[in-house]
Amino acid sequence: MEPAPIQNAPEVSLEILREILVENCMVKVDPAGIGEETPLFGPDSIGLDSLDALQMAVALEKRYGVVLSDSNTARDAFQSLGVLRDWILRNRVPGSGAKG
Amino acid sequence: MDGAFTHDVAVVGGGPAGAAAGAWLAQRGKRVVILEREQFPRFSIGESLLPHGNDLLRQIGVWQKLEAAGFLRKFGAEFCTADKRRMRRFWFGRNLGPTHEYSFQVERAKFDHVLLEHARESGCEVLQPARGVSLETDRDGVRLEYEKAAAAGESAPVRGVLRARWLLDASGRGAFAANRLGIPREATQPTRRVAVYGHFRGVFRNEGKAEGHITIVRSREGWFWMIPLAGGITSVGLVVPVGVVSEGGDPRAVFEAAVEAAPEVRDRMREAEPVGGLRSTGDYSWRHASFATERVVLVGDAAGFVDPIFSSGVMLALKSALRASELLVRACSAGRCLEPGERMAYTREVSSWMREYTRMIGAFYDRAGFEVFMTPSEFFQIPASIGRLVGGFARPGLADRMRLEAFYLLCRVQKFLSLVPAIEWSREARTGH
Repeated sequence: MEPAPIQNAPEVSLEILREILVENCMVKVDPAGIGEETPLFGPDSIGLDSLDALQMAVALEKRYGVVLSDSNTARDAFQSLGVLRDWILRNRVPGSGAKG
Repeated sequence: MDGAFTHDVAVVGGGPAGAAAGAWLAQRGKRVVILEREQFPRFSIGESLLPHGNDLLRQIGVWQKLEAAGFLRKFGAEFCTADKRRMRRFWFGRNLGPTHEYSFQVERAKFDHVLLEHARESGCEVLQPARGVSLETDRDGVRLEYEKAAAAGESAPVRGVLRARWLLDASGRGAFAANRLGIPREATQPTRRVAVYGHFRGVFRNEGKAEGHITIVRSREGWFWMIPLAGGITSVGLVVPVGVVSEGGDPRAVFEAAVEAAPEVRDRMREAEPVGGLRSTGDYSWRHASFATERVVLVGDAAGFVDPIFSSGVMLALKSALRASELLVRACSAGRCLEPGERMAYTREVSSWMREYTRMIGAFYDRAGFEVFMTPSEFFQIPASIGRLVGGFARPGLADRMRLEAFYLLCRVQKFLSLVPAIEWSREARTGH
C-alpha cells in the first residue's frame, strides 16, 4: 500500500525544536549552544526536569500529532534534539519517515 | 624442508586482516605473498567499522585513501526495541573524544579492494583468484601449494608451491590453515544463530550527523542491523536463532515476517526497495583453542568469530593482524620460530579482546542485561564505559573494567529486582504500539 503523502506537514528541524524547547521549558543555558547531541536530561545535560518533559510532550503533540504516552519512550526520545528530530520524523504519520 | 624460501610471509586471504598484515609487513621489508580466492571487488558482510580501528588503518597508511573513497561517516550507534518504545543513541565522540569521533560504514566490496590494492602498492605480491590446496609446516617454515585460476590466454588453472618462513591464516571463517593443522574449535556462545540480510534503497535515514549511525533493533527472538551506506543504500540484516529459520522455512519469508512483526524496522522500511537478493549465513560465535603454532598464526575471523552486534569484526581482524605481524617481525629478526610463551600470550591477548565483546553481547541477549543497557541512568559512569567498549576499545583500562563489572553486577541484580524499567516484549507481538 502506498502511504499517503502528508499535506502541509509541519517542518521538523533542529532550529524549530530548539524554539519549542525554549518556549516550553526552563532552559538555563544559552539555547544556541544546544546542539543535536547535547543531552537534555540527567548529568552533563542542560538540566531539564520531568515538568519540562511534560510541557514538551504536550507541545509536540499539538504541533506534530505525535503521542508520547510512555514515560520511558519519552525519556528516550528526549535524549537530545537530534534524537527527538528523528523520532518525530519516524512517528508523526505512518509513511512520512523516508527522506527524499 | 627442501628448497629455498620464496617469501618471508605467505598470507592466505586478502580481506582486511590479510591485507593489513601484508601491507604492514611489506612496509618493513618483508617479502609477502597474499593468496586471495576471489576476484575483487566482491560482496562481503561486515560493513560497519569502529573508531578504534582508525588507528590501525592509519598505522598501515591507508587512512587517507579511505577518507577519499567517499564512505559514509559513522559517528555512533543507536539501539532500539522492535516495538518502538525504547531507544538509545551513542556518540563515539562523547566517550572516546574528538580523535575518535567517527569511523566509516563501508561497502566491503570497495573497502576490501582499497585495502588489498594498498597492500599491493606497499610491495606485496598478490595471487588472485588463487586458493590454498595443501599445507605442510615444520620448525623452519611452511610449504603451501596453491591453485591460481586461469588468466587470460591460459587454458587451465596453474598450480604452484610457495615456501615461506611464516604463514598468516587470514582466510576468514573457513580457516584454511587451522583446519589443516587440526586445531580444535570451541563455541563461545551457546545459541547458534543465523543471519538473513540484503541491501535496500529508501530506508529511513536519520537527519544530520546521525545519518551514518548504525541502528540495532532488538526483537524478542533476535535483532536487526540497519547500516546506512553511501549512495542511499542501507544494509539490513536479521539475526535469529537457527530454529526460527528452519521452522519458518524460506529465509526470505522469515525475513519479511520478522520485519512485519517489528514496528521499528517495518516503519523504517515502509518505502524500501530491495537492491539484489537476500543472502543468509550462519552466525555462530566460536574460537580456535589456539591461535598460533611455531610457524602459523591465525588472525581475524580465522582465529574466531564474534557475534556482530557491536560491529567488532573488522576492528578485531585488523588488531589481531597487526599484533601477529609484530610477533613475526620480532621472531624473524631473531631467526627463530614462535616460542610456546609467545604463542600462548598471543592466543590469550586476542581471546581477551573477543571475550570482552562476547560478554557484552551476552548481556545484550539477556532480558535483564538489555534492560540495564537501555537505561541511560549514569550509575557510576557505566554508560561511558559501555560507550568506549562499543567504540572499539577492546581492552578497557582499570576504571572502565570496574565500571563494566558494576554494569554486569547490575544486570544480575536486575533479574531479581527491577532497578530499571522492564521491557515488555509481549506488546510488540500483539499490537506493535
